[in-house]
Amino acid sequence: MNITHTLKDPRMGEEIIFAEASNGMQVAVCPKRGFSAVSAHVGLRFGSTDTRFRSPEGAIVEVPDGSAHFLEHKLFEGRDEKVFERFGAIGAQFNGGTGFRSTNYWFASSGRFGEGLDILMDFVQSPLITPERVEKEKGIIVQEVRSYEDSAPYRGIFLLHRAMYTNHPIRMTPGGAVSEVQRTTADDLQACFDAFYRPHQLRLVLAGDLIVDDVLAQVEALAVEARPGDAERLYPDEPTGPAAAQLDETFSVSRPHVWMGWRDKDGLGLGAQALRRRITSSLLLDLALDVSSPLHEELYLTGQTDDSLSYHYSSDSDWGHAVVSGLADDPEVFVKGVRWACQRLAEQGVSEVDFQRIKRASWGNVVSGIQTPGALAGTVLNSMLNEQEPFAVLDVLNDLTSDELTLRARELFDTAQSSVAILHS
Amino acid sequence: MAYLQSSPSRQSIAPGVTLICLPDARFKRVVFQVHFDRPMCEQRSARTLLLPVLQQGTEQRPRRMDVARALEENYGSQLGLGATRVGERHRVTFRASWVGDSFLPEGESCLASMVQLGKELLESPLRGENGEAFRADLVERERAQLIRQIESLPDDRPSWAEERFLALMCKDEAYGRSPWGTKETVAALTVDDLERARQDILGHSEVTIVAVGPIEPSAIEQEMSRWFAEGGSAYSTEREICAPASTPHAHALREFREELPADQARFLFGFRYQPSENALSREAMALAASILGGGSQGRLFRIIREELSLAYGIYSGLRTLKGMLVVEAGIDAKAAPRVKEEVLTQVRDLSENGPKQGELDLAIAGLMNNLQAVGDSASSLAAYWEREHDLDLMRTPSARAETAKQVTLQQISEAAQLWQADTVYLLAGPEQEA
Repeated sequence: MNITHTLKDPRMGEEIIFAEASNGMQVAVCPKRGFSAVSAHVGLRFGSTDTRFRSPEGAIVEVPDGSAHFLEHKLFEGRDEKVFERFGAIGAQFNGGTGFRSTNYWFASSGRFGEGLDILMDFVQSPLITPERVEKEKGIIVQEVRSYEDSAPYRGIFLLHRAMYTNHPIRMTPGGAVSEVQRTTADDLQACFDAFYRPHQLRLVLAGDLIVDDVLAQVEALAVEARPGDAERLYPDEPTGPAAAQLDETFSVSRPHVWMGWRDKDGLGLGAQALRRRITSSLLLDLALDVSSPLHEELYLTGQTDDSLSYHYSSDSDWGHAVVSGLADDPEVFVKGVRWACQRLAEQGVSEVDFQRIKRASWGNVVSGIQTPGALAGTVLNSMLNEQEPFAVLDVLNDLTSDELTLRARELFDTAQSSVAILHS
Repeated sequence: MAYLQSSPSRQSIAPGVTLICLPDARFKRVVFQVHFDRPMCEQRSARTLLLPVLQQGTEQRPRRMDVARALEENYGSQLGLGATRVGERHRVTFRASWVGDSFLPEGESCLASMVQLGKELLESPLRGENGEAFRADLVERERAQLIRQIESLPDDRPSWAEERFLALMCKDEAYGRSPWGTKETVAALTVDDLERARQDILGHSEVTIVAVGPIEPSAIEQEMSRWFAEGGSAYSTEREICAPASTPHAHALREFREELPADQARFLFGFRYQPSENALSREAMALAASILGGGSQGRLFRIIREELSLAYGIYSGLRTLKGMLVVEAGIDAKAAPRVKEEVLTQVRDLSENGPKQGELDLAIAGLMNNLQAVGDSASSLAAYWEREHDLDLMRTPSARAETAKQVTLQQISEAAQLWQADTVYLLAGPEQEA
């Protein structure tokens, strides 16, 4: 195991040792003295949007929607023994998750971390995918997918994605439709595993009260043989503007659920630029719509919004969008009010007083937000998968200016780039 | 790793006011909660509406925006008021968190300003211009919002199913009452009702204060004594200690089905039991519930999900204060009879034959891991000690672990024998067959 560098951040009170295993797997160890649980998170950049790709061997592969999520389920079945039984025997907590562009697996154990790490590295690197196992899992996944389909927030956000994007696979839910789950085969999943689950694509983060040299030696011993070569993701061309100004869907809700989105014309790839755009966008949403904003106060006092209002900014290498949602008796009033607030912020610009105040709040939340080994491991893994320096958010906050935010507000809150999605009975 | 052996300091700072402090410098953020407990009585609607009204501003900070800005200036501190059901109590909680002093610029501290903000919210509300207890326009706006929230509850199918299940299973018990009341009770509230509720919360509640994290206990004690001890602003000698929740025996098994448009049916199955005072029996009950359906190791998960593929998840959990075991799952409505029978079969088997040694070992391993991890976050420590205080047990994780290790197969069987099937509830779409 080759230690590549160490990051110490006195503002966060954290230290991270980065290393590379002989098979190319990138590893980070975060010592957290005095904590009982040790967490391990492993992840890779392969998610629900990766349904069409050229394998490292050159073959064009197309798999059903939801394949990355289905594969995650199958990995948890293990090769010889179910993973949950193995983790259960050592009392560990564990789970996994599939996003649009990544999949991750984690466990936390208080007393038997070494055994847990054996299990994690085994099932992520050496699955057994058979037609019988795939067929058996379909009933479980269908129940999971159906539970999401009963959720208004889930329906609403994907209706908005379909309004914002014409061809982009982010239009599809990570689990895929029931019909897509039903047509998934063992060959599909094996093709995904072979193309993407290559050791050099894995990122492993360990956090807790552990001895760095010992744990790195264990990881090296568990590393499977290197498999060089990278799959090429094949995404459809996507226009720079939204697919539709508004989409409506009938769904059993007591009040209309309204979703608004402003999409960026393109992504900025991964890395520092993307992080900066994400932070500026999130701060702008706070400045326009947080309870501390006079614009929010105006919307709230005039009944255009209520406490159901929420917002976030989401992005990856080739997309970025701000989302605002809420429940409204009159969706038109809600949409008009939120648009007014965002445009007003862009027109007036960001005041230095507001900027300094919100920066101070963000700084406090960042330095104190990561407390447990599990939270630290998850944050560091996310940074690695996005090719960003952990804790770089503090540097960006220090470096930002109100003028930069104003410029970004004028770019982001462009009505021509916005879409609306409404669920109503 | 050792289990946490130390207990927090627990002291009564005034009649009916308990302060629980656990300083821990590993954490970067303080978790601070003040719980005000009242019975789940008719006044719960007034309390529920009061909380958003109080959060609209204070005499000193007359706009909600002013309160939010004060929190941002305070390095992103957080604060909120909420109400929930704890056993048969209606618990109003003032909740706050802030960055520990050691992570702030030198000389800065958030404690005093956060306590001040909390006191302002509860004690110095915005009054009406003509001496009314609250501003009428503000009350009407928040009332309309609360009514809309109540109307929207069925949109969240799992939460709605659970609320309906509790209302039906515990029909004549305080536990079956929703913490917010009904649209009608909220609509009927007057401004004076809200003021009476506010004074009742401050003057008559049983109060529990929990502070965990990078704190100086003496500073917390000083601030809280100024607030609650004799001579303090919220001082009262008339605090009422809430009665323990009722734990009636089960009815003959009842089955309810309600309909709402849904792709997936929600299934809940409630059992009753009489909680034991005996420490070993309590741990046996917790382990028995875990063996039945406490997670992916549970029998219900292994059989109903893994063998039969009938659910994505199926779990059981104890409502310890109320003496209830609840099994919950999202299923195809057609599978409901089969799932019900399988739950009954497994409960019967556990009570008649007990678990296998391997099942008990897995349940103990999971419990040990959870008990060890309690000390790893300020919020989990706060939740752990709050629960121990509610149960009036104050067991350390270490003591619980020692007790749990002594539980035998026979004791698991005896615990399962106490479960009496009471209510099966299914929330399904109109077209779905059960």
